Amino acid sequence: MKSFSSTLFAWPGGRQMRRISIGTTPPGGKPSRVPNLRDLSVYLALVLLIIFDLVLTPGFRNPFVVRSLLFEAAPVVLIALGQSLAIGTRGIDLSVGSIMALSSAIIGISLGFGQNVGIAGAIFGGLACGLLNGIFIAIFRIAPLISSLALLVAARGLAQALLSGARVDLPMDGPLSALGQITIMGVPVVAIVALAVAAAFAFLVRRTLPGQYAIFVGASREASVLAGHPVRATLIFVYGLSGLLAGIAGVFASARLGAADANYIGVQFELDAVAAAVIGGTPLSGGRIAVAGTVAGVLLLTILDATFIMNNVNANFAQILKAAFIVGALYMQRGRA
Amino acid sequence: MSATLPASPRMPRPPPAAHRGAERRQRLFAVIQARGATVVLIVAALVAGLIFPAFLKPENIEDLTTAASFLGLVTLGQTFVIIMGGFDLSVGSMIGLGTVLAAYAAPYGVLAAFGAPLAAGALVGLVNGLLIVKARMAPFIVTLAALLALKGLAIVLAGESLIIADPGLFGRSANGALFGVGNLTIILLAAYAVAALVLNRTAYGSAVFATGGNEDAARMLGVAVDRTKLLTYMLSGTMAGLSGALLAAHLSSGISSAGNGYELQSIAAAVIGGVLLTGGVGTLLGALSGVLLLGMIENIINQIGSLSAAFQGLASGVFLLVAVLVQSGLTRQRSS
Amino acid sequence: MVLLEARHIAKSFGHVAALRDVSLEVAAGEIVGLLGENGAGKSTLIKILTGLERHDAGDILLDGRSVAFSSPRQAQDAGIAAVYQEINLIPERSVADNLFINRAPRVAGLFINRRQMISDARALLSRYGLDVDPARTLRTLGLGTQQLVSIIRTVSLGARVVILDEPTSALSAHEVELLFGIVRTLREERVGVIYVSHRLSECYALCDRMTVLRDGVVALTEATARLPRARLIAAMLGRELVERSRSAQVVANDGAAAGSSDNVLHVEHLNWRRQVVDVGLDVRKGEVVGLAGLLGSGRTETMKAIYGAVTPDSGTVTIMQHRRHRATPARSLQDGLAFLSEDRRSEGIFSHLTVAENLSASMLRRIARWGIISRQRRDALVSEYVSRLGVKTGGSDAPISSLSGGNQQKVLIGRALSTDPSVVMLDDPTRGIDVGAKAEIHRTIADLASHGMGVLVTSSELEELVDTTDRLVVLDEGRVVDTLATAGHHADDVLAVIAGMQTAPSSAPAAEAGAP
Repeated sequence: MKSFSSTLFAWPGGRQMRRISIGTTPPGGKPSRVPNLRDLSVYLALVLLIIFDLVLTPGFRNPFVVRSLLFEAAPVVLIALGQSLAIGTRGIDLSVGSIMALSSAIIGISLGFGQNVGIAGAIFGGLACGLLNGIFIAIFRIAPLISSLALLVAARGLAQALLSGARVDLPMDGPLSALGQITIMGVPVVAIVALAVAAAFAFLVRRTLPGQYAIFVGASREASVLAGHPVRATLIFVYGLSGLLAGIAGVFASARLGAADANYIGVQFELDAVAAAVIGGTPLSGGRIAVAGTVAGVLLLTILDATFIMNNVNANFAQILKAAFIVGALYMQRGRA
Repeated sequence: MSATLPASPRMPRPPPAAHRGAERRQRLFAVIQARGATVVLIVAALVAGLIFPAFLKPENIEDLTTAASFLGLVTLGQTFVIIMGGFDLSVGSMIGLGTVLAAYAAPYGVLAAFGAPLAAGALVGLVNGLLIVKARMAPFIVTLAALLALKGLAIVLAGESLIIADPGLFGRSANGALFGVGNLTIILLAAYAVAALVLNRTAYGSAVFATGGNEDAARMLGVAVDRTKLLTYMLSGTMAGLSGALLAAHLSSGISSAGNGYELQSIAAAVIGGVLLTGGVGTLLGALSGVLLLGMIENIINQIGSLSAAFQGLASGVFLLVAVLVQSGLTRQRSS
Repeated sequence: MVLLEARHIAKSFGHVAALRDVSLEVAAGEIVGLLGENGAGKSTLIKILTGLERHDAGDILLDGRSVAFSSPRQAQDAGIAAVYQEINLIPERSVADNLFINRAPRVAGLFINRRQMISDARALLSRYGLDVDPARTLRTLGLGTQQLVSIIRTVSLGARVVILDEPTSALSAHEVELLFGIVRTLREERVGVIYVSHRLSECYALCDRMTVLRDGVVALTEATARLPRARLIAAMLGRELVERSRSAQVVANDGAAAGSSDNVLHVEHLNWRRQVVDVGLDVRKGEVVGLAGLLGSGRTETMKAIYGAVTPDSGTVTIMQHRRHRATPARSLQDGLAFLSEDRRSEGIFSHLTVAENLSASMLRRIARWGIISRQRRDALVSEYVSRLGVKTGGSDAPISSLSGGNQQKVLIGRALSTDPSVVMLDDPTRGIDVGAKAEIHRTIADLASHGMGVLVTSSELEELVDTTDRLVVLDEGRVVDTLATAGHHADDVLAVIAGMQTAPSSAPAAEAGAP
């Protein structure tokens, strides 16, 4: 197996030099569609963790705790879905956390025009960033890692500049405050939205042209070109969608925080998004997108954090364990590429 | 059947004019790629000096290099890793952990205060390298996991920060000066000088270039690819540890969040400096120029009192975007 | 004195036998040509000799002693070195760095002595007659010069047997002369050389002896001086040569067809990077046209240029009287031109996806409404093609990688047909698949033509091509050299034509010109 980094870097702008193969890979290989332990491991881990918490973590059953977990998880689910799509095309999108911050900043500066305008502007800003990223990747053929890294730095910089580094408190009434608080039958609206987006995503990936094209491009770009697929348009769509979702996630996160803050919103969320997608079973080598697994991956990471906090274990052990999870998940995926 | 071609008088044929033009253009692009950042740095510094008279004053230059030295040392390691065809996201957290370890060890003397973070950095690099080389995992995931784990570890050890009660000699190692030049500046320049020698004049340096330039070919040519990778990740970890130790000495404290974001800034600095993320190409002078350019943006924004520090991120981001676009354009020009 | 000897080597990959029984020997100071079409087993044999693969049966003897290499390093240490078609050097480093990587002269045992290294490099290059500045970055040199640098590096390691695997594919005429100089120098230095090439004129100019592989066995071994060209080609293409006069076979020269309303595909003056040179051809409704020619004659490149998989430098392609500008694969499919790549693994299948996904990859737009793919219509079309083409699968949701090569190929043909093309181009559709599947693919081709589709097809087996086509367009070095009807003819006839062409290649000495 080739190292993933070389695929990430070498594609799509890379040269052919790396493609020299030594020896032959055995034909065939394991059927990928038969569910096996590896595919189910994220759900298994999630269930085990929840059982552990229900039995041993004091206060975990408190609806307030569950609600707050769902508020936390909703924006991460959105960006992790976008991420899984990008990874499915054998790319990556590191800009999502910064786009969240930019989205938050746009809300912050446009409060004078009404909240709805701010929300629309934030989402549009995310979309624009994503499209820009997609154009860099598809047209200028810059490696996704590099392009989105540049955008990561630039978008957060823009966000900080827009707000002059300050935190802007959001009004206590209106749609933004509602997004940050309202629940339906105890479930936060944002979580319902995130779940709906996930369902739409599953449909997108399985049943629509752009979703299928994304998978084909990730599985084999050469074959995809020859099969007549619109490869460039697909990539622009994928990164545009990822940016759009990050824009929405920025709105959610700002609403929950009750403030627009370019220094706080979405910091290192890109890493959580990648981790969730990978743990959820989307291989970095592309060609497969695990939507439900990605959602489960986000929940797993969120609950893991909460478990440690609630057990009065130093919150930062969660980081270490998160790291272990990511390594373990990838280790199990090694054979699939 | 006659088996021989007419014996060829090996006359050197002059290449056609068009070909020569293309060749010159290719060389020009290569030079721009390697030296562009340095030229931009010098020009920008002169322009800045014209606009802000305070900018070119020695004290200000020293401020700039001192502030840039921590990022500079990390970028040095990162540059080796990128040229070798990988990258290291763990360095930011390693700086934080380095400051904390240095703070813990400072009461036991200067050697301990430097030794602990350097050894820890080397160990982290070794673990990263082993996971990448032996377990064949993606550098992205391995070093990302290390980033999360080390950050957690730093906070577990120190909470937010840990004051060094009596920095003494350890503090002076960073804050002192030699012949009027600050120690941090001297350390930064010396480190890059030594590193340039290692990269360009040793078998290890050649192996770094070869591994990043074409890993399969390097193996075929007999380069010890795996060992090169291990060593390079260890170097990167060690440099991050050193950066952390010096930062702790500079601030007289260990701060677990120190170095946050340096993993990406160091990659950005290297890329601005003409180090190609595809591996196999790059110079240390370029990387250092990238570091100083980022430092200069910060410095100038501080000079303009009216400009919020928030613009720093935007300026670096736009800078990076432009650099990436120019680099990719140059690379495409060269390969066409 | 025999240096290196391979005896009765056999090697299988899974169920596929790449080498069945191959013997080869090289003496000191001898140049042995190794020839054969794609899939004949040349590259497997080389990999075994250089330690990249282990053989299943047989012996390798070096200086009469049995040896077994488990890595290229071991083979190199024993004195066997290979230069591959892909240039295994570091493009961003200087020529000198590449020549002396891992063995650079040093100062104080640690620091590389650059000046010494450059002057050593200059001496080495001039010894083999290559005039290149050693300080230049390798990638700024032409591919041919890079290849020569690679060869010089390899031979300067002190190898006793040097294997050159299609070294001239990227070389200009001048560089080929330089290469010949290097190889002859090696012969004088008593090095044994195995020279793999598909350019016959080069083999005749250089080799003392030639060995032809076909289907994993040695089809022929003969001293060059006693080997007529026609017999060599016959061995490569798997035919016994029957001497006939050439003029009798060329039945229809195709001039009249141009612009005919029957034409479903009309190609004029197509050029691509000197690998496709001024190619013109026609395919009529219901006709099966074969692109014939040896390996490297430009068969694949011609098809890719027509399809738009590579962008042609010039030329026009007309499909169904509809002239096209700036072809792309997507537009070709829309215009009714489908293409099957010869490289099934990397340009054909999506290996982690299912049979249904693979088969439907090109028809998604047709079975989608408002961007939503209709499951029903997809499954209906998939099962239609699966049964029509006789794909043996464990269900359309089985991963394509679980299918045999022949069945994978049928899925890909199904993908091409699912776009409802008026012309379909199949590049070596029967390569590497079993006899049964081969026959089924032949039937499919005939069936398509009988329904009015135009088919352009290649094969590395000439007999197959003659048997399954109506007309042949013969390519040599990227040019169309002849067009002939196959009706009532035998492969031998075509063989004679190709052999006739081959006797007068542009770069060959004048003494060989003229048909036999």
